[in-house]
Amino acid sequence: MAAGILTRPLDEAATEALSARARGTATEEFAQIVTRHRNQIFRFLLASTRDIDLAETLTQDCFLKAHRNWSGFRGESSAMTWLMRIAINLEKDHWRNRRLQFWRLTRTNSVDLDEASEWLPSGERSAEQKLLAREQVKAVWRAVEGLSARQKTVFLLRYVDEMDLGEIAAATGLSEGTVKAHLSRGLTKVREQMKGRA
Amino acid sequence: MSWKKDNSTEPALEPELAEALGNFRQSVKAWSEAALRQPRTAEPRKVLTPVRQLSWRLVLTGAMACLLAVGTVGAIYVHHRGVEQAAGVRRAGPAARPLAPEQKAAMAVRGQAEEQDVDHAARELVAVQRLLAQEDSETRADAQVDEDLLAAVDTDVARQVPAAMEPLAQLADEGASQ
Repeated sequence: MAAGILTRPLDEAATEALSARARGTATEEFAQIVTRHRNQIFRFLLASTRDIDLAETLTQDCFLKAHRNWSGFRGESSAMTWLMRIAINLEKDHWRNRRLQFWRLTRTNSVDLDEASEWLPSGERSAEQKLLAREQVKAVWRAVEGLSARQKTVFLLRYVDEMDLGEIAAATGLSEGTVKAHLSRGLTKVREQMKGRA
Repeated sequence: MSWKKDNSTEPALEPELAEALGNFRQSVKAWSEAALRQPRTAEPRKVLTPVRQLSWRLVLTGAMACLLAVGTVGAIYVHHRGVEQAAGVRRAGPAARPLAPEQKAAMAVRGQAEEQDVDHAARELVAVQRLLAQEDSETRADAQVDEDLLAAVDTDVARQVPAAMEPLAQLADEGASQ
């Protein structure tokens, strides 16, 4: 009897209800993912592009792409790593397309280093401490500007998004050794900038 | 500055560098949060930008096409005009062919040279004529001298003729004196 119930094919309405519930669950799940990781993805893209509009557009594109491929996400890595990988690829594609569209090279909304260095966390700081912090932030921005695209990505993932080496390696598709090498070069440039500033 | 997820394999950072990196992270975080708090303007841009880009591309393409068309028509017109002029010159013959300034200058120089040649030739001709006249007069003078000498010889010869020829010699002398 039980075997008969189990082997009986589901009728159309039941199938529809089950898939709707599954869809609903997946949508809820995805909404949670967006809420949890949106700020981090946006922060990485903002630090990479220094362009608020572009960072917002790429963040939207990232979640749109993730939503389309959500069913294909098998959980081999964390959702954050998966989303970051999509964001990195979108950013790469953006610059590649921009390079091809040579007449739009001059049009950029990226803010300059001085403006980017103006942002400091609100806290109890003296004027001197704020000035010192601003100088340090500017030196790091200068160093980041001098890095290659890949080094910059690795550096920002580590020191802005605080991802560990394994996560960075998974998000970028590089080996941990390469990630370490890129980080080391990035830190060397920051040190040089700090020395130059002093 | 302590990181949320520190890697034990990474070397420890100097305090100043760690502080700088911490300030950098907080700065980016503050900027990003401020940007996210701002009223959203990215959604309409997403829809409008392709339309605007499309219209700009259309305008740019149209302008380029116009420029190309004008350039092509201009080039064809100039070429056609050149061909017509060449045909007209060919029909009118070489005399009607307009001369270039360089050709005119060359012709002027050539004319001056020819005039100079003519003057020189005329002067040479006069000199030759003078020489010829001089030679002629000298020849004539020599001939006169010869005639005189011959006459004198004739007279002397006639004087030495035998007595039998005396009347004839006298006749010759008379003829010569007359």
